[in-house]
Amino acid sequence: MKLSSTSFIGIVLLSCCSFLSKAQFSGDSLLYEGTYQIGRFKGQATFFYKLDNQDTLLHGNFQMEGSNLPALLSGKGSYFSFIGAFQQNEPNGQWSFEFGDYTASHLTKVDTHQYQLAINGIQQQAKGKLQDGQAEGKWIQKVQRIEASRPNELIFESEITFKQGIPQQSFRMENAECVLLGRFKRNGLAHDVWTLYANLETTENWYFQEGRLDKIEIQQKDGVETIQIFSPVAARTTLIALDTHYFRLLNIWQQMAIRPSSIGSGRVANLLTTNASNYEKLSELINERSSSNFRFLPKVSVPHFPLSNKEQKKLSTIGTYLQKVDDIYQSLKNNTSLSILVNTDQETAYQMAALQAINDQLLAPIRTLHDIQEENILQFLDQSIYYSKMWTSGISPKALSITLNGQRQHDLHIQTFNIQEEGLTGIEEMMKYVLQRVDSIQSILNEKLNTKERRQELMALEKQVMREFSLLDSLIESQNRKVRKTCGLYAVQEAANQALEDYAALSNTSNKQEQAQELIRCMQELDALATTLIQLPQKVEKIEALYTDEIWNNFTATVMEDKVKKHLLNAYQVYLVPYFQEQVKTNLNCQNAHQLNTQIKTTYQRMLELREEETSNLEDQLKQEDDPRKMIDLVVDKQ
Amino acid sequence: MEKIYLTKIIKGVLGLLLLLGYLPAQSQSPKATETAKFKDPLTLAWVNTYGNIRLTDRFFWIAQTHFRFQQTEQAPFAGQVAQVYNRHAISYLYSKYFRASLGGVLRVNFNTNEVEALERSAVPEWRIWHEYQFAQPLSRLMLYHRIRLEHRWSKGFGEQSEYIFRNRWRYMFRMKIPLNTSKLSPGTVYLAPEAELIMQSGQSVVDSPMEDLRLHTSIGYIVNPRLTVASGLMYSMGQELTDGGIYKQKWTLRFHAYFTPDFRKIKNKLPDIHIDE
Repeated sequence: MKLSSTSFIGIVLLSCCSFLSKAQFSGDSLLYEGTYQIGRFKGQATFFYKLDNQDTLLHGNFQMEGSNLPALLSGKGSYFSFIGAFQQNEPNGQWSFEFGDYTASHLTKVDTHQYQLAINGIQQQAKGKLQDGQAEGKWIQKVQRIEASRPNELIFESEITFKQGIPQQSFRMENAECVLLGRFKRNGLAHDVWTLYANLETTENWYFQEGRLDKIEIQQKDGVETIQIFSPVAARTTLIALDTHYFRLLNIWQQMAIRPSSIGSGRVANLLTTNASNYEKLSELINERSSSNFRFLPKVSVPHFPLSNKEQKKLSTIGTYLQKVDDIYQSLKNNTSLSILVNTDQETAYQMAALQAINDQLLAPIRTLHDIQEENILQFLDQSIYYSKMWTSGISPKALSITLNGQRQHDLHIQTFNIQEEGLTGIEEMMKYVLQRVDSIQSILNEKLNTKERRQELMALEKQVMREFSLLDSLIESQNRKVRKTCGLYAVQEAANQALEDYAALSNTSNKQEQAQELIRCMQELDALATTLIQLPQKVEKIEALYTDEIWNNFTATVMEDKVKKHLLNAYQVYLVPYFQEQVKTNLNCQNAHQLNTQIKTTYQRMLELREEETSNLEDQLKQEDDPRKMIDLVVDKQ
Repeated sequence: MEKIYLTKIIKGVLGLLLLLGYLPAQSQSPKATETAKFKDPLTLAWVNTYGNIRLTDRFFWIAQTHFRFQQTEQAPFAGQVAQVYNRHAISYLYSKYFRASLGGVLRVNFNTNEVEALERSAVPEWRIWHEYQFAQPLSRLMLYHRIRLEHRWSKGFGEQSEYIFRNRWRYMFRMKIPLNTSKLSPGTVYLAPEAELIMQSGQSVVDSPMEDLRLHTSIGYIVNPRLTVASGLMYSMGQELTDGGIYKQKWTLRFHAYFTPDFRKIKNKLPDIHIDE
């Protein structure tokens, strides 16, 4: 039966398609089922996608799930589930997120083919609509505790309405203790009265006007307390996020007021920050697959006192100085020798106390300033007022009280700076001055450390020198006189004595330590050399035996010894070994002891190796040589 | 153990030799001589090379080439070539103390007499030989006992001369005494006195069983285990084959070179037999 060409092609195509097992056609979208990863979430996903040239565009329903069963069974496991939809690679549609951190509780049911496991843990759920990657409509976040697979306790819940990612209209946040109800304007600004209920009673009312917090009313047992918010007045205002930095700002404003006060219990802040972190988790996830920026960003209005470039530079310099001072402070505080010295030496104790005083009494306000700048909220404070309030009357203190042994002993007089008038410049100068003072304290302490440490070190080194010397001495003395003479050990002893004399003659120079270490090294090398020399006669014998062959002479019916590689052996026995011994006797000192020792050992080693190697060339060269040094080169370099 | 073996064999062979010496001669009525007559001694010079080439752990190849010169009227010692000797054998080293060899000899004898018209100038001589050598260390000397048996076919120079067959029975006693060292080793100068008695027997041997008695002392120098040179003087005397009452005498200057190469390409050239006692 002959196949027509078209049907043949058709069959081929069909069979090709059957190989594309994972790809199934649904409209013009392709389905993927398998492992997938978004950010740090790895799991199994099922979704539809389109191919656009080489790019994969998520398009259609999306489902992803992941759980770590082994981790759960052995302790703690996490679980996640994302269900939603994409359009042209942007999240679009109703989305539901679930995160869980669970531990296994107990087995609830064992079916024919299944185990059902009850779990305990914390479950976070988020539900809402995403439009082009932005939150749209009502979003609900819920964090609850699960016990034996049943929700047990509400930890947090928030309900926020969004339009194009901007929170607006009423919202509700609650946790186990309290509920916060509030409102956003259409542009996401906090507005109107935000009320905090605890146990169904009003406790706090926060009054916002176009994002600006005017006052807080706190319900006390005996009435209402009104906290006026002392925000500075500025030519301009700006919008910032309603986050922890804002609350810090509020605190600072209140402290800077003529009558400083606090801003309530912090429960409002607590709720807002919990909500923010939950949304942060979602943002991280959603923004992996979205080109727009999903976030929850409520805004408030604050006065703006922008810092000039110069001012910012100054602040950065101040930060650098602060860091330097901190480094010095830390290193001195952590120095164990210093801590010992503090107990024994008066001056050290005084200097450390001075350092402490500077750190505690003088630098604290500057640190705060630096932190505020790091948090980026200095620009929302009236800086001139802030500077003037850093110290009383705007002038930095002129004396610090030094505490020694827990008792106030001394006043450390320091230069003062008029911060009120000079502002950042003044602070900068002050930091420079502080750094100078701290530097000089460091040098004084280092000096003390150096001398004491150095003296101790030097003593230890010298002790070691004497130890090494006596080791060397006893090694040499333990050999009998004949060995001492023939092996040149007297020369080694002589060299050691000379080195010791030279060291003793050294005046107390700054590098006496190095000299001592050199001397130790010298003793050790002389010791090694002495050992080598003592073993040298045996080694020579060994080489001789190695280079002797035994041969049967059939005429005399005796075994005779025959030397092989005679020139090489001769070079070693007649030239090299006597040369080494000569060098030891005439020319030995600390500098060349090591080299001599290595030479002796290397040539011996080479002689052992050369017994087996091809040496006719070497022997020819050796025949013509006279100079032991050249012979050494030939023997050692021969590859 | 070897020594007991040794002495037994020596005794046996010596006994045998002595016995042969007493065999009555076959042919009767020699020329009646009342006293032995000693001819004037000849002077000879020998240049001998002895080779002992090691083949395996136990087998050696003995290869010797000797040049023997004789006096002429004009020149003593080495005036003319007398014989050129080629001796070869395979030797088996049983132990340090005993070895046995078997081989052959080709000797070319040159006519040292006035060559007459009907005489050949050179004549070959053939031998088959075997020898048994015992080595005996004695303090720093070495003693050797060598028993050599040769079966010899030789003929005279005359045109009509036919090969005669004789057996030779030889015993040599030799010593090697190191002079400047404590044992025989490279660099040793040694003194080697030796005495050899060569007896012959055969149909043509009527009343001259003692072919040669050689007394020879040489001084040798061991250059290295593979090369030794020696030189010495030998006095020999023996009965004339045709007339047992006439004794010929010779003084021979001898120059020797001994080679013991080992061309084997193996690592350990000294086999265990030399190490184990």
